[in-house]
Amino acid sequence: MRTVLSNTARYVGIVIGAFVLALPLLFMVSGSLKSATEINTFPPKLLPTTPVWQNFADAWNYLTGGVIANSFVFAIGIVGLQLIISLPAAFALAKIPFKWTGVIMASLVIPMFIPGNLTLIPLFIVTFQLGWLNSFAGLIIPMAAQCAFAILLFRQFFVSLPGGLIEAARIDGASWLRVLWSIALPLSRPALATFCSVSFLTAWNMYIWPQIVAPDPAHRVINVALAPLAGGENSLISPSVGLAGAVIAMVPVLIVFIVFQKWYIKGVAGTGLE
Amino acid sequence: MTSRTPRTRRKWVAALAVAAIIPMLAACAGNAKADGSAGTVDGSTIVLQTVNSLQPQFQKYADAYMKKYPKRKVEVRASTDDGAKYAQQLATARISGQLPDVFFNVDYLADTLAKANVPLDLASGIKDGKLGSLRIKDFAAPFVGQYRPISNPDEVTGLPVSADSVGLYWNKTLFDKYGVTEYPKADWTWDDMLRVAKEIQDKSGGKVYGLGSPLQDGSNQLVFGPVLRAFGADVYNGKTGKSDIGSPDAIKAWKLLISAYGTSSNPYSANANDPALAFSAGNVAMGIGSRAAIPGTQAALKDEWNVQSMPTINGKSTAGGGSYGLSISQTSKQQDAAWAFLKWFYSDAGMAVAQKVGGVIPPTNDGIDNGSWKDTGGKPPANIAIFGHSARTAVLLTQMPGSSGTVLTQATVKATQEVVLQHVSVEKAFQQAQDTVNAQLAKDFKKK
Amino acid sequence: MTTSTTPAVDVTTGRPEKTAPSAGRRSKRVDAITATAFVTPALIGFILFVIIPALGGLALSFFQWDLFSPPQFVGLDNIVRLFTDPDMWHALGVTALFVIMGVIPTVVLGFLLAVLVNTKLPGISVLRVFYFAPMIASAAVASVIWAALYDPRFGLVNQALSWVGINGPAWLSDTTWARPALVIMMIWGALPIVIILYLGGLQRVSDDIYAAASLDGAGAWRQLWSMTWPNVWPTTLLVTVLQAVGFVSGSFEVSLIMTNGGPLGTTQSLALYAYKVAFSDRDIGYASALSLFQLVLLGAIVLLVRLLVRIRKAYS
Repeated sequence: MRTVLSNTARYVGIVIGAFVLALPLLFMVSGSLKSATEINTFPPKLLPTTPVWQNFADAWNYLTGGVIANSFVFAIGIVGLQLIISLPAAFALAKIPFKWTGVIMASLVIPMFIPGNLTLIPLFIVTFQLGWLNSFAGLIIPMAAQCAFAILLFRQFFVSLPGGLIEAARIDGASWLRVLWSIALPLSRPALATFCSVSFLTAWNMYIWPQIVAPDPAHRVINVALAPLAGGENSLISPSVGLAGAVIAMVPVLIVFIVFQKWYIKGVAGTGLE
Repeated sequence: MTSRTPRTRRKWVAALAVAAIIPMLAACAGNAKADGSAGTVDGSTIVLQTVNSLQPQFQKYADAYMKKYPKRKVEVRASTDDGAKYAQQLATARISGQLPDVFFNVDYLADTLAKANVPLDLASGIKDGKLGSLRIKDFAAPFVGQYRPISNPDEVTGLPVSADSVGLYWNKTLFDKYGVTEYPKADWTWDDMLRVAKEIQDKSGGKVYGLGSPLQDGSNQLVFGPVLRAFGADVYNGKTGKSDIGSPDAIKAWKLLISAYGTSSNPYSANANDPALAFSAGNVAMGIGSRAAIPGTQAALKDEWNVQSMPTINGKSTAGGGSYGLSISQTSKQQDAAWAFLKWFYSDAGMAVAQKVGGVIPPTNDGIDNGSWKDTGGKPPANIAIFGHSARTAVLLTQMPGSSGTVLTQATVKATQEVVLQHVSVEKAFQQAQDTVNAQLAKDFKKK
Repeated sequence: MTTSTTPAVDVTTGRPEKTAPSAGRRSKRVDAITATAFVTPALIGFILFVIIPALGGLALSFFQWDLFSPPQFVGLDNIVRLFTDPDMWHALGVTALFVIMGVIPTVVLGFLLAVLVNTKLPGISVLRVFYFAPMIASAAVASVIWAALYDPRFGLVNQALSWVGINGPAWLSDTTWARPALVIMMIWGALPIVIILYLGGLQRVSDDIYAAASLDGAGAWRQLWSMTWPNVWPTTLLVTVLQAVGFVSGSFEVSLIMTNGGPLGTTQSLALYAYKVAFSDRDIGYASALSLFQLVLLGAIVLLVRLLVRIRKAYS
């Protein structure tokens, strides 16, 4: 009897907590469907009287399809490049006998815990010196190079792969590349799912880097386009259209999050790997 | 683990990196200045950069141009409305060699952008007939003067698009809703405006603000400039090279301006472009705004509204004025195509389009008096003609050398916040602001 | 320690398992060449975009440079300016306040919520999604949402306050409330990851100790603080360090977007100040010195925490 009661109480607590944490997002959805006058009414209403879908058209016109395409190029570019760079490196560090392994591992780990936002200025200078400002190369390559997380994640996974399988393939004369491609990779789907979801979300949500490196309209990504609507840099766009823009910006990450939830959370929890 | 070798290696890497960086830095002295003529016109594509709030009209100008010259392309790109950030973006684009070919310039940023080597000097090209028979003297002198770099007044870094001035926008629907029948008149004083604004605000129980705060976040020089002038103070005195925003006359002006917060207007908001406080959102009964806001207001505001001349202080007009303009970038590889666009834009045909779709007041003597901009096609504001008169009499934004303009903005915002949020006395806050600005001016003069 | 579900590896000493095919010297050379080829792209990226920026930032701290004209060597000027610049000290204080005001509530709330949802009740996995959702909102998205929530008249926050008779402040325009407003928003965004990490930590606490406690008749609340909390101490430590760094970095982003450091500098953290020096004043040298100083401070704090933990361990 006591457990039933306490379970009920706990349930109520959990539901209230879920509601409070999700409230800002629910507000975003509700606000995105209010008319320009309705969002500026006093006292505010919780739900729109009639949903104004036009807000989404206006937000799309403001953000533009090009900006959304840029965001996909940016995020997928980072994920792809990091895969290309980190998979072979991680594999070599895990499975190929090599005397530099320890040194490389140690030097990769040290800067991993420095948040990117704090090393922006020097990184900007290097990108500037390379002549990469306002280009996709400048947007993608310097960020893709910060792949210590990817290397550690994949290496950890490769280390746990059974050695016998690889040894057999090597004795049969398979090259290391072949072993990586045909044996290690097919077994690494969980690690790949984790990495791709975490890396995609991180890249899609980046703001400051694309803002300083490629602010020009041709390379602008969605968060750079959206942010001015929070600081009131555009008095012609009503907050409801801004919220519709926020919904649009969240759709891709929401889909990735829902589909990859299990692996994503594993990856985020992995930031605890020390 | 062989620990000795990697350590020496690492030292080498470090030394190499340092050695590599210093020459890289030294090599990076600005790019060569383009000579002002490059590229072909037909078959060209130029990039025209503007700000978000003007994007719709600029797109229409580009469309009209491309219709007339189907072999030429103009790609319109829009960027932030925040002036400081806009200038910062162009400076970044300049160092990366990625400037747009033609870009939106604006009076208060003109000197900053010129200092950053962004715009091309147009004066010599115009003399050479790049704009046909149009000469600089055809433009209304005060407006084109806003684009002459202070340190080099023979150059012109941009051509004004519109001779804009400030007027009082008012929402008749809101006046009527709260039973206020005293509509703005041409002979209103600031006291009249603030009194009626307060009446509306009180009668609506705070649901509607009587007036959008005249100072905005404290940076609105278009309003405080003329008000200071009416009280006898100068934001910047070109003769003495000093600012007297802390003088006793100026203090009177600041006190009047600050008194509006929370009584006649919205309480202080640090957000200068808050959409909820925009006149076009329909929550404020009156707003002080530039002519340039008309197309946006027409599109957004469904209420009945009109404009009136700015109220006076001590019998003096408080209408501020200014302009935005077009510039060609120094590093454009399509400068001939850029000139061709400007040639069309400032011709009668181009100006006709600009008046029709953007409501601009051509910045030429003839345009201000006889332009078609006064015809709004039956849409509000009925009283649009006031902007023709005030374009002639407006107190234009003061150009200040180098970065002192930016420092002025920061200083007035800071002083306003100190008074409103921290209850510092007006005298103390603005004297300090004056000291800051004058210190920067002294620095800027020393540099020259 | 690790909270990930994949096996942990001590990366500093971790050696790959020997798979050593016995084909002798030639195969050893092939191994070395392949391994070099495999790690080269990563190393080039690492050198170019991690090492060089770090050294370059250090070098630039001794120059004055506006990105246009050639840089000028100014010796220790930027370093001296650093310590005599009142704006720097103010920004440093703001950064510290962001961290203190943010980390403590995040850790405590995160722990309590993790305990709450650490159950096998039916439907919990669906409900947990709501707890994790704020994590996927970018700083820009969160700022757009919270800017609307904080609107003095039309925002939900002041509306809710008015129900209980409080006249809410003009959050982002108020020198007292702008910083707490940003902190609340950042706590919201940071809670999911803290909950996730604590869930990992809680699942490693053995059920036996609770059974023993129940026999003792310990109350639920006492159990929580005297048994659960000490047992997740390693997680708490990790979460605290991660969040401290997270608030330093996150406050930069949200204050850049929402308040631009204002009003009156109350939300201007050190990172934002360095950003403004670099990109508004184009004083790259001083901005580099500021960034460097911040990294040194952060590193020193992290080392200090580790040292304290080691001392604590040694004496317990």
